[in-house]
Parts: sequence; C-alpha cells; structure tokens
Amino acid sequence: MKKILALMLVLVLAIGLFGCGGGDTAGEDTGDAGDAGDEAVTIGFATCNMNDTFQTYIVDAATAKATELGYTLDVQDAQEDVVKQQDQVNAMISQGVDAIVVVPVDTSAMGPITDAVTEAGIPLVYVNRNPFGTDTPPEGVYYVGSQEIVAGRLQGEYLIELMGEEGGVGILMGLLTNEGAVKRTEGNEEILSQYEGIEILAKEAGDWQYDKAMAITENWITAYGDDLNAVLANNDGMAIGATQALDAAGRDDVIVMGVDAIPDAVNMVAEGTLDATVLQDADGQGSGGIEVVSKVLSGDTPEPITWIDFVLVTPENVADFQ
Amino acid sequence: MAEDTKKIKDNKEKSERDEKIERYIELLKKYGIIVALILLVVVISVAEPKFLSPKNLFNVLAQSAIYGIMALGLTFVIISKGIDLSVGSLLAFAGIVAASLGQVSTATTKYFPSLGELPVLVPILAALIIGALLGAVNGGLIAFTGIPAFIATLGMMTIARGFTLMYTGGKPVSQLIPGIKFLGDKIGPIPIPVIIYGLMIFITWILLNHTSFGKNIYAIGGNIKAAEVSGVNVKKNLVMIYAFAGLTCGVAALVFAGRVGSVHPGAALGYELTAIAATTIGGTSHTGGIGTVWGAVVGALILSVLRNGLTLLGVQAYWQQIVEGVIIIVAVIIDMRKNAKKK
Repeated sequence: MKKILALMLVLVLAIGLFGCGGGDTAGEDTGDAGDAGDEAVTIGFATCNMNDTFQTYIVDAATAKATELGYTLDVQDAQEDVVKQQDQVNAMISQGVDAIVVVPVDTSAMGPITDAVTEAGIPLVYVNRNPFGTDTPPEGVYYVGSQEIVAGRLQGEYLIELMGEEGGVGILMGLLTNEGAVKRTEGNEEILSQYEGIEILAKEAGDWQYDKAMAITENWITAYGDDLNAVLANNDGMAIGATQALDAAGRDDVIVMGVDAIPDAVNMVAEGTLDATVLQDADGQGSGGIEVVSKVLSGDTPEPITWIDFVLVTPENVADFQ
Repeated sequence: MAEDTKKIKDNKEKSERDEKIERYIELLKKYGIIVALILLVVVISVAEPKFLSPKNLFNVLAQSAIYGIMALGLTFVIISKGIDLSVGSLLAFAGIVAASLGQVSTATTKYFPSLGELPVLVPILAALIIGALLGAVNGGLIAFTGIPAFIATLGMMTIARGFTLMYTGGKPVSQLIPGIKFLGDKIGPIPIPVIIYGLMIFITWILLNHTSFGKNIYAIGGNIKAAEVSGVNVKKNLVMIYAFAGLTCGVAALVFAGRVGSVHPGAALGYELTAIAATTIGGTSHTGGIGTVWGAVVGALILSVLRNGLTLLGVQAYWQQIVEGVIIIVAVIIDMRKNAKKK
C-alpha cells in the first residue's frame, strides 16, 4: 500500500512538473512588472500540447514577449484533451486573469470556451489553429495565425521560378484528415493549375511519414521516369524521404520542397540537397498573440484576424534561419 | 450388359474427376493466398508493364521489408493466440536510441555531443537489445500478471511512444554514420533491406519449424491448458515469444534508420496495424495454433505489391486505403471458412 501511494505521489509530481514546465519560467518575472503600469497584468495561456515541438516554440515566443511587456503569463497544457482545455480556461476566468490566449485542441469545439470568456468580458485571442474557419471572430475575440494555403502557394510559385512553366509534379500529402495537408495541397494546385505546361502527375498521402513518402517517391520514379521533374511535400519529413529515394536512384535533377523548416531541412537547403522549405513562423504567432492582447488592454481595437506570413527558405536566405 | 459396364466406367470417371476437382480446391485453399498474389502481379503488370522491371520488383521487396520483418515476430505472437499492438512504438524507440548512438561526429544537432563516432555495432546492439527487452516486458506482463495481451501491449504502445518523445523532445535524430546508412543501401542491384529481410525469414522459419520453441508456440496457441499439462513451460515461452517480436522491431528499426537516413519520434506510427494485417492476410489465425512464416511473407508482399501497383497505375490515395481494408476482411473470411472445415 505504501509503495502504491509513493508511486502515485511520484506520478502526480511528474505530471505537475510536465504541466507547469512552461509556466514556471514565466512566473519568475511576475514581481517587477514595470511598463504595464502599477497593476500587474496576468495573461492565461492555454496551449494545446507541450509535447508538440512546434507548440513549445509558440509558448517560448509568447513567454518572451510577455516578459518584455511586463506581463505575467500563466501557461496551462491541455495535452490534446479538449475537455481539460475547457476546465483550464474556466479556471483562468475564475482566477480573474486580464486576458486569455488559447491554442485550440480541437478547432470545432471552441464554442463553449468562446462563450464563457466573452461572457466574463475578458479579451480572448486564439493562436495557431483557427476555430472560425472563414467567419469573422465575434467582438472581443481575435485570431493570430498563418494560412496553410499560403505555404502551398509559396512552394508553387518558387517551383515555377526554378522549373519554368513546363514539367511533371508529384505532391506528397500529409494525413488527409489534417487541415494542413488539405490546404497546402490546395495552394500547390492553385498555382500550378495556372500553367498549361505543368502536369500534376500524382497526389498521394505519405501521412507526414518519412519512409512512406520515400516508398511513394520510389514508385513515382518507376511510374513516371524522366517526366517527374519536381516533388512538393506537405512537410519536411516527407520531403527528406523523397530526397532519399531520388538520391538512391541518381535523380538529382528533381526539385524537392518541404514545409516547416525543421533544422534538418534547413541544413539540407544550405547544402543544396533540398531546394526549399517553408517556415511557419512560431515566433511570429506566439509574440503576435501577446501583441494583440497588449493592444486590447491599452484600449486599441486590433484587427479581428492577424495573419502571420509563412517564409520561404531558399539557398539565398537560408543563412538567416540556421 | 455392355451398357452397364459403360455406366460403371462413367461413374468411376465422374468420381475421379470430382476427386481431382476437390484436390484442386484443397490446394487452392491451402495456397490461395499465393494464387491471389500471382493474380495481383499479373493484373498489375498487364496494366502497367513497368511493374515487372527488376528495379521496381526490388523496390517492392525493400518497401515490404520494414513491416514484413515485424510481421514475422507477430506471426509467433498470433499463433500463440496473442496480439502485439506495441510493435510500431517499439520500432520508434529502438530506432531513436540507435540513431542517437549512431550520429556522425560533425552532426549539427548531436544527441550525445561528447560521444564522437561509435562503431556501428553499438547502435545495432542497442536497437536489438531495447527491442527484445521491451518485448520481454510485454511477455512477462502477460505471463505473470495474466492480463490480456491486448491490454499489456496497448499499454506498452503508449509507454514506448512516450519514452521516444521524452528521449528526443519531439525532434528527429539525423546525420547518421555510413555504417547505419549502409543498412538501407544496395549491393549491386539488391537492396540490403531485402537481404536482411531474407535472413530474418530464414531464422524465423528455422525457429518455428525446427525447434522445440516453435512446437511450443503452436501448442500454446492450440490449447494453452493442454500445453501446460504436457509439460510446456508456458510462462517462459510467452516471454520468449514477445521478446522475439520485440527483437524483430529492433531489426526493422535498423532497416528504417538505414533507408530513411534518420529516425523521427513519430516513426512507424500505426505500423502495428500494417504488420498485423500482413500476418492476417497470410492466413495466420487469430484463434491461435495456426499460421506459417511464408504466409506472413506473402501477406506483406500482397500489401506492398498493392501499394506499389496502385501508385504506378495512378490510383487516388483514398482508394488505396479502401482496397487495403477490403482485402484484409476478405482474407479473414476465407481463412475462417478454411479453418472451420478443418474442425
């Protein structure tokens, strides 16, 4: 019995450590909130998942911005559990925070959170994942994020620049249930369909996976041979898988691009083994969310939606991202 | 009189013909899965002759190697009437640890910066040991606590994926030493993953058909109580079965690292289902006691021929998943009828 109790205690502690990992650093800067006036401003930040590397970049950027402005950031991690996220936001409301920033666990399930926060008269900023689709957020609610479709467009436009207006293209899609996969592919097609000489040979789902993308690319090389001039991947992992397959087949003539600008991909762009990747600007989104809060708190009315641009990473500008 | 003899002769011929047909049907049932594979190959190569090029055929084999190797371990598990849902996660964890021990010294994001470059044997052993060890934990849980294999390995699936994420902080481990990349390379036209796969098939076949361990696996799956009564050390054998399944994950992890040139924490997500599908299509029965090594190989080949073929033919991504699902269900229906008749 004692052992079980001890084990439970350890588990609880571990969860506590994980859950508040991000919050602790922010918490230390509470006391001397300088520029924000005499009253210390506390912002509740409900992230969707601290195990997701990209999300930790957003939290880090938001923390840095909040510190700079003299705000206290209370970070809560929902671990991809939508109910937990609701509970955390409700706790923030009762706690009386000055503003709430949410990275939605599930964009289709944010209704209750939006209602609860606006009812309490607290400004609400959604970041990274857009719960409103094509609608405009209600009053007092804001969204800061990037348009996935733009990443696809950037790839397409750069491909035209590199390849010209003729050639065969394969598109490696992510999980078909993810908005990122669908929209990035749409962005590719939107640009490429404008050119008669360009044919989309195939679109296949590599499910974000390196090795699946590699197998698909191997099969494309067999199927289309020299007609395959470019591979556009919805993420860097699949782009890296494609370059492996192309390397093995001795096809260094094929243009390959990814999305995400993970360190490996950035290095490959610098080496010239990958033609380009697209950076989703986590820093811009994290600090952008806090900037919107700061505008609202100082009495301004910011735009309901702030778009943070994707950045195309090519051999010309890759040094800035290393 | 003459008419009578004719009748008798006719009847005899008829029954001979029936017998022949029945024999064919028996053969077809036994080797139906191979017939299905050949049919699939014929149809695809008629529609797209490029399919039969040696290079493409080697591609198909290499592409089936990763889940094919895992399907070999699962064959043991499923024959013993168990299941292992953790194989994809075990691959990821074994792979990520091996990769972290097998980075070049100049790697930009080096996991162990002070380690320099280790001989390739270190990451290889690490992958095999981690795979086998976590597999043995699965087997131990099932044998000594009596919890169902589904639950034990479901837990391990989550735990091993958690370890993988914690170990890497969610980041991929890349820039591997040539020794690891060699495992994904080619000797002449033959991909090394195919050679490794061949070796594993041979080892698995020997274990299952020519050792007492193999006999025990069938005995445990056929009737666990009877096996126990007849003196089979069930607990020890269960641990060995799952340890072997884990070991195959370690081998598959090395092939993965070699082929892809890096390992990411999301590696092999959902591969347990592909490997289970390959084993199932190959006729290994989930009711236990029935299954073969070649079945698992043919099952894995059917899946990779299908994926390769549908890509060559330019079939939409959505359809590939649907076709795969239908084939799994049809395979199990055929299998159940076959086994029901036997009983």
